[in-house]
Amino acid sequence: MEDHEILLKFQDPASRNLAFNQLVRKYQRKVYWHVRKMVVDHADADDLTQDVFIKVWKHLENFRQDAQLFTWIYRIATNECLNFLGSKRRKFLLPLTDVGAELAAKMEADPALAGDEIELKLQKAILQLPDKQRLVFNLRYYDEMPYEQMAEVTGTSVGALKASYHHAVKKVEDYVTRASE
Amino acid sequence: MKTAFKLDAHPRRPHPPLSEPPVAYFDQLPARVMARRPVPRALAGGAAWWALLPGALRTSLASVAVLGTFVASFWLGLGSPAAPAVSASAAAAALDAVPQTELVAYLLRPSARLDANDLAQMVAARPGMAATFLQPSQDELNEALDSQATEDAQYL
Repeated sequence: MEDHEILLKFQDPASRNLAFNQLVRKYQRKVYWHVRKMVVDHADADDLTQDVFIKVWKHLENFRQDAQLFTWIYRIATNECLNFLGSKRRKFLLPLTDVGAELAAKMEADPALAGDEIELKLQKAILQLPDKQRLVFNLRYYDEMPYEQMAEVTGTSVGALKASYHHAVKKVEDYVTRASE
Repeated sequence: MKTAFKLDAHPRRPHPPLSEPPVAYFDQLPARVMARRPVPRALAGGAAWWALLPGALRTSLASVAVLGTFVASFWLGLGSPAAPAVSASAAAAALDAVPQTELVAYLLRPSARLDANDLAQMVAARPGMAATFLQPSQDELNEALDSQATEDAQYL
């Protein structure tokens, strides 16, 4: 079902539930993995993914169609992730590096990465990045999202995003190189 | 020495190689999300139409209602009779119309509770009023003044 069709059906109370169900089915994988990349842990990603769609349900009625539906959903998901990581840091009075280390420990414990040393180093390097820079890195590197769309998701200028991604790649490469020496 | 790591040379994946979510996770997720949606409170039959209106229209109608209330209050306020202003001269003229005996009888009735403040204000408003009514002798005035408390003397 196309986005405009979902939105049209959502406006009609009789087909609202069906439209929303279709929306969740259409975007759940992308939202889940976007969140999972940020929080690593499946249980956290599961909670946050549900929270994202609950927010979508609450606010879809007021969604202005000057942005793409998926960009808007991505934006909600991004904010949820950043709020989650920020509140975790505030709750436990953790510095940035400790949250990165905690995420890296979870990553290391993941059996999917067992035996792939260089990939593990790469993932650890990515987790060392500050949250917002990691977000930019994920959107560009994994999702291959165009900078213009990233600007809509993050509310940041294209120039700033390009600079942030460039610095993120440099940091990641340096980290992996040093870790391999 | 090992060569520097280059991200471009590393095989790109759609997402980090983390373990996949549990089997059938994505089959069940829509139902779990649907179950968690906040259910709108049941509205009374008369108000059910309100819930069916689009959000923007509801906001507009609420704004119009608030604005209308203000306008109606203002308009009704303009039409209500204001309390008539009583000038000091009109009040004095009305008081003059009351016979002196009636005034004295009113002031001397058992329930009257005149104190020094009342007397002082009356004397200030109508100089000579007390002398006209009481017609005291000089000795009586001296005696009255001597018996006054110091703080009340300023009004006489």
